Amino acid sequence: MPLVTIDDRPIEVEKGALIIQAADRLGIEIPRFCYHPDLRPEGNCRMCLVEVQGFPRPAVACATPVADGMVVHTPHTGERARSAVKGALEFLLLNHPVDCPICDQAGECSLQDFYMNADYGLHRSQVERAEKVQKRKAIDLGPMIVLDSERCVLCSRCVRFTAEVTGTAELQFVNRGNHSELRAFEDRVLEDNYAGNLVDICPVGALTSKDFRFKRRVWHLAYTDSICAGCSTGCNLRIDYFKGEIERLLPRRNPAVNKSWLCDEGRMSFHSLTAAPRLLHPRLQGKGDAVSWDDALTAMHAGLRANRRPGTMPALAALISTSATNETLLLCKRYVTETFAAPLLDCRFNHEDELVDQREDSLLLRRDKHPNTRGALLLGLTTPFGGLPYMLERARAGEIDAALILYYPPMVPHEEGETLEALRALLEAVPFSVVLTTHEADWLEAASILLPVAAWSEEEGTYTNHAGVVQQVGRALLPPGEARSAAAVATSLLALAGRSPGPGGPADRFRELTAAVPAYAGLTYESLSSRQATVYPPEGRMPYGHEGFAGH
Amino acid sequence: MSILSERSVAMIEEARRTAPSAQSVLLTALRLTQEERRHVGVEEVEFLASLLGLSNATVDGVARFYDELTQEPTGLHRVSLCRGIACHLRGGPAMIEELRRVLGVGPGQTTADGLVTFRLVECIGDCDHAPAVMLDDRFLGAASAADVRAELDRG
Amino acid sequence: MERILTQHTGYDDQRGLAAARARGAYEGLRKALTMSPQEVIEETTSSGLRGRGGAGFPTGRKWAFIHPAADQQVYLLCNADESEPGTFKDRYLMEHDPHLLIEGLCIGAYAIGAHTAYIYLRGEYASVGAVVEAALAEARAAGILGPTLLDSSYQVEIKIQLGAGAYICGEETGLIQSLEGRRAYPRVRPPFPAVHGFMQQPTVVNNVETLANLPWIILHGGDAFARIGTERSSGTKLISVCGAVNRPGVYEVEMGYPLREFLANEAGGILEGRALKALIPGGTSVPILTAEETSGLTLDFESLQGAGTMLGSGGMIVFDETTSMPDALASIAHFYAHESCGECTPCREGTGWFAWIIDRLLAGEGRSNDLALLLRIGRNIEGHTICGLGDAAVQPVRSFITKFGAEFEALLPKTPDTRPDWQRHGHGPRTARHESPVEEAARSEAVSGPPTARL
Repeated sequence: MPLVTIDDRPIEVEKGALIIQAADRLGIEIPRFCYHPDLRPEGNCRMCLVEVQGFPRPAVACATPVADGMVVHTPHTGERARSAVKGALEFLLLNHPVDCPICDQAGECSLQDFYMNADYGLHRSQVERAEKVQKRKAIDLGPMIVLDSERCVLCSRCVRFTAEVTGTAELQFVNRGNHSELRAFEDRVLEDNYAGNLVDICPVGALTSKDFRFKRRVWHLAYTDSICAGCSTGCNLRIDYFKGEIERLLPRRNPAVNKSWLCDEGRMSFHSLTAAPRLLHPRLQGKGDAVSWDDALTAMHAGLRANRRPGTMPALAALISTSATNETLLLCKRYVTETFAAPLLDCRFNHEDELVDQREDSLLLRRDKHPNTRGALLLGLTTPFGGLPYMLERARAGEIDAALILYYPPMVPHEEGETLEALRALLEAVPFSVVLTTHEADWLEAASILLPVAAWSEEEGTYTNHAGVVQQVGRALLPPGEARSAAAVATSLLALAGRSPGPGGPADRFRELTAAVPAYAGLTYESLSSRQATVYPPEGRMPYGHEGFAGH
Repeated sequence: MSILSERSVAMIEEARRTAPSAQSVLLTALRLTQEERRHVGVEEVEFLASLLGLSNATVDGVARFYDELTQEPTGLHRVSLCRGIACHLRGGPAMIEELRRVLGVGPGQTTADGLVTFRLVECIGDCDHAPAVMLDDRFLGAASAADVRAELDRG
Repeated sequence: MERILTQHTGYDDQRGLAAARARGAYEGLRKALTMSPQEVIEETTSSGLRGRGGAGFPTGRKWAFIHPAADQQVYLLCNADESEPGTFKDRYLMEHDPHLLIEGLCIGAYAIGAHTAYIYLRGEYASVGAVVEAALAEARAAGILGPTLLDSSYQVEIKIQLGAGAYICGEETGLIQSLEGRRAYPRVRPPFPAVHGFMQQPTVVNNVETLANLPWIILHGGDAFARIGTERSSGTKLISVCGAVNRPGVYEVEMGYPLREFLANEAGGILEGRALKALIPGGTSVPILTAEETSGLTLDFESLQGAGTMLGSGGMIVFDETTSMPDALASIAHFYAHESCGECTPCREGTGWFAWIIDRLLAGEGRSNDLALLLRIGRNIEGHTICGLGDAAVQPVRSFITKFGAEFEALLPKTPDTRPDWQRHGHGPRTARHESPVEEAARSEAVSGPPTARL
């Protein structure tokens, strides 16, 4: 393994690793615009110039593989590198419009951040604003993107993204020299499901999010790492929120799952949380007003176990959504299997088990629009007979006494009419039913008891993606009204049933999970946490560990 | 309807037949388009993109890289005056004014009847005939403005 | 003097195949085909032939970098883009003796194992392309090119690719990119074209004049070639002289020929008996020499390098006493700003900045630190770019200001502006500001293309 010394610090890396990658692992900050770990290197911004002993000129760290014994000096310790990078930054800012007061990128802008670095920034401008080359601004490129070609630093990340990742090649430069401009042909809107990534990879405010435009200054945002609940791929993301409202979702880099990308559907999925009114209070059918949780839970536990057909055990049909976290699934399973003799317990509303691995495109999307189907399958939440369709059949035959349903509306809206009709029919066909859900909906009319539960981003837990990767889901918001996390509800029910619910925290629940599922043996909750650098640590240091934040 | 003539399309297809990639015939295709259509506009870009299996932006990006490919139609004839250093030293600036007088338009402009585009170009490699002028693809050498006018009138 | 490249006598009817054959055309190729490719490379190496496009890299050594894998195709690309200002010697060669180039191409292709050679010809040379195309047709008709190369079993196909007006296509990898149908953005090296070139295959790019030397070298031997010229510059050189001389044109001289003699004899002396003021020996990308500095110099690589400039392309530009150096520099600076491809930051922004500052100086709006600023910009560009255009743009700026400082200092404000930056910015008269393409199009009925930096 080649050994390289950067700024007097040695590190061994695999053959073919680039100097910039070695520096990132050492935590040494080499500035960059055009380099991106998931795009082919181009070496055009010249910000990553470093001194390599024995080379006649500074070399670009992003395109130079490490050779054994290489000695490198970055701008932090090398005068030639420092002055080269300082010069490059001055050139980049030469024609850059001073848009910061109206530019969404402010606060997470590479130009700002590098300029404020004492080693290679803070030069005095030598040009008048009127001298700068002017280009077209505020160009609408569709539902996701606004282009400002004047702010563009021509790093070509977006050009490479549309060429290499989506294969659509919709963005390209036109003209030459300092009149070079980024353009989409005839300003035609970008028509693919991955345009949002352009905003992340653009290091400046040239490509910005239309959805997020002018909403919030980024330094006001709090953030939590989480996992997308749009499909079974389980892309890693970060939830940015402010005072109880989600403002945007950004991808986190995970080479094994989603690289640096997020699809547009998943990126916009948080909007579905506010698309319909939330269920805020427990409700009993016939009693229009809300009831207390205690009353509701007591009524639920009694109602589910009531003997409706003399001489038989209560037949329970329990349908638990694969959008629930593993912890919720385990606790629900425990409640159902420990309380009832032969329950019909299944997670399948609509062939989730068949769809879980099936791709919907060649990049990230999968056809199963639930984040945790694999987790549910590993927990054994299937019967040989089938899910919702089978239960409905049995219910219509009068063989089901009670139904317990945990349902989450999909984070990425899709056609669900048939499933909802079947659910409504199930509720109407059974004498007693309890539905735990997040939002109000028509099909809930016939439910005996409605319990409001926390939605995605309102509870911690884990999902297992299609390939079996267990990932931690984060909590950014508090559930509204009286909603509680479904895991907490299941815990309360276990207590009512006289079962030991087990200890309460997320780590404890995860331990219980690893004990229950052989496939999870050896995993710990700590190992799931986002172990790489988060984006804006309190010290204000820009993290260039690319294994962390997907954008920079 | 084909944007380019059958002949041009045939030439492009023939070039592609023996070329290592479809994109590698793009420059030739663009030159043919500029020759025939006197510009590479929106329709032309879309046509070539479709013909060669490239994205519109890719074709447009290449077309707008080169000085000889224009987005707006040029005149039937192009009078190109060199502004290289050798021509600059040997009467280039004065020649600009003379040609402006004789052609009736300034550099970068086309006559109202669409017959002549007058443009300044970078060193064309005719420095021993400075200030050098080209009429379309022909080197006129050390032509005077009157000579240029005469060549144009001759058709 | 041994005429290696100008054995034709310069009349149009000397370029046909019959006339060329009468001069011995394709005898060099015939002999080369009796040698092994390795022997041809060795002969070329021992000749000491160095690239004639400007870089002067030893040709045999460049060829020796080619080691294709079994499934790879080697390409020979002839750089006929000739866009260096003041340079027109390749055009001269192709117009007067196209078969010499074709023969050289065949020898080169055989030496490196290429079966396909492209001549990348600048678009403005379309008429020259017609001449070369006619010669290729003659060669094919005569069975020289085609299924067999002469009577050998080797095959070479030569294709012409016309450019469309971009100086950067004369840069090795810019040429390759253009040939691939892309924007001609040069590539970061390594890897070099010999490893990953045209279509990612092993590729050699040679200048027209370089290839044109090969027939003589093979026919007369590398040693004979090495005996001509100087110790580190063998053979002859085509010099295209222009500017303030009585007889601008292309002349073949033996390497080591005294510069002053060339000016007085071949070039016919300075226009109207004026005094020589300055001279650029090899295209605008090499530093300028003052009249005094030209004394004692000879036309070869080492003498000019020793004087702090370069032989470069051999495009000699002569300035007489009537020349305003700032005005000349403005013309040159705008060339590089216009031709910068825009891929990498220092050249893209720096060349444009050079042009603005020099324009401001000429418009009487200079600022006290402008000259220091120009030099600093030069230091920030040089050595920091992907290709040599950035470095090339710096040479004229630096050498003009350094050697003709008085003329530039005369353009600075008489009383230095000592106001702090914050007071100066935004005040003062508007200068020749560079319009965006949008503004330029709106302003006139301009026929658009890549916008010109001036006007």
